[in-house]
Amino acid sequence: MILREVEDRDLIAIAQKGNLEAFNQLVSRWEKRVFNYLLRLVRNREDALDLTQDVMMKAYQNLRKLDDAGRFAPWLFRIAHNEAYSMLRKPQREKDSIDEPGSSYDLGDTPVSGGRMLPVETAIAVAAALTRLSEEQREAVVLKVYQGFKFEEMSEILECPVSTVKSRVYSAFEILKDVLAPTSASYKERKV
Amino acid sequence: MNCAPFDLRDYFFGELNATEAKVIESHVANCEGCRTELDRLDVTRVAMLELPPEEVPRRISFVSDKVFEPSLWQRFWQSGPKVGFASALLIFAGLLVNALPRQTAPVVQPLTATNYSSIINARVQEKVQEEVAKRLPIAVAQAVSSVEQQDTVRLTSAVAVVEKKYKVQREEDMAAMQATLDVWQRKLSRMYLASYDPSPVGSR
Repeated sequence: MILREVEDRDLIAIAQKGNLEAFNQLVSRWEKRVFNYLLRLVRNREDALDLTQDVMMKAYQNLRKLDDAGRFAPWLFRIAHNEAYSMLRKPQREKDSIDEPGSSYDLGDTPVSGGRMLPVETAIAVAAALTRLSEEQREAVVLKVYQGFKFEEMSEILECPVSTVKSRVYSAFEILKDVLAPTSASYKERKV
Repeated sequence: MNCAPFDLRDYFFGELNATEAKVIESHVANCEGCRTELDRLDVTRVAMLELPPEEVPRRISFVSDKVFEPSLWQRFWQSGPKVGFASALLIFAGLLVNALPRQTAPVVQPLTATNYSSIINARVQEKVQEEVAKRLPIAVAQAVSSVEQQDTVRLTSAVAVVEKKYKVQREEDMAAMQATLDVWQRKLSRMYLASYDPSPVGSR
C-alpha cells in the first residue's frame, strides 16, 4: 500500500463528479487564500467573506467546465477577481462597505519611522502603504507577493498581457519601496 | 534607476534565465548602487510579508440540498455518454422513419396495347389463382378420402383372411382333440371289458 497526500487534482476529479464532500475539502484548502486576496482588494471583512462564499459557490457550479485541474488556482482566482470587481463597480455598495464601522480593513496612513520597525509596526506600515496603490497595482502586488502567482498566471487571472501585469507590479513596488525601504534622501523628501 | 545590463526587477522576480541572472549577479557584486537597489526591493518584500494573513471569520462549507441538486435528467444529460445516447437516438429515429409504410399515390398510366395485354394477363392469372385456390382443397379432400377407402378395404380383407386362417386352425385343433379323446375312450372301454367277471360276487 502506498500512502500519499491527497492532491488538489484528486479532489477536483472527485468533485467534478458531483461529490460535495470532496469540494468542501477543496474549499477548506483554498478559502483562506481567497478570503485574504479579496480582503486586500475590497478592504472590508464582511464583503470579503460574502464574496468568498460567492466565489466558492460559482466554482462549484462551474467546476465541470475546468478542463485542466493543474490550472485550478488561476481559474479560482479569476472567479474571485470577477466577483470582486463586479462588487467594486457598484459605487453605493463600495461606499457603504468602507463606511461600515468595525469592518474596515484600512489602518490609516501610519507614518514610518526611519529606524528599525517591530513586526506589528511593520504590518501597520505595510497596510498603510498598500492604500497608496491603485486598485490594479494593489491587486497585482497581492497576487504576486501574497499569493505567489507567476506573471503568466496573473495574466490569466487579470485577463491582460504579461507586460501589463509586470508594469503594475513594478510600479507598485516603486511606491512601496519608498514607504517601506526609504533611502535617507527619499525619507527626507517625504518629510518635507 | 540602476546601471545593470538587465532590469534588476526582472532579476528580483525571477524573470531572467540562468545566463542573464549570472550576468546580473557579477554586475551587482561590483556595483554599490545596484546592490542597494536590490536590498531595498528585498526589504520591501520582507516587510510586506510581515502583514499576516487573516483567518476566515466563518468556515465556508456547503451541504447537499435537494432543491439545488440537478434532476435525474439533468445529471444524465451532463454525463459522459450523452453524445452517444443522442447519436443512438438519432439513428433510431432515422430507422423508424424509414421503416414506416409509405402511402404513395397510384400512378395512372395511359392504356396502350402493351398495357392492355398485361392487364388481361394479370386478370387471367388472378382468375387462375382463384380457381386453383377454390378447387385445390376439394381435390385434396377427394384424394385423401379415396386413399382412406382403399386402405379400409385392404385392411378388411386382410382381417378376413387372418380370421379365416385362425378358424381353420381352430377346427383342425378341435378335430385332433376329438380323435385323441376317441382313442382314449376306446382304450378305456377295452380295459373295462377285459376286467369284467361274470361269476356272482360271493363266489370270488
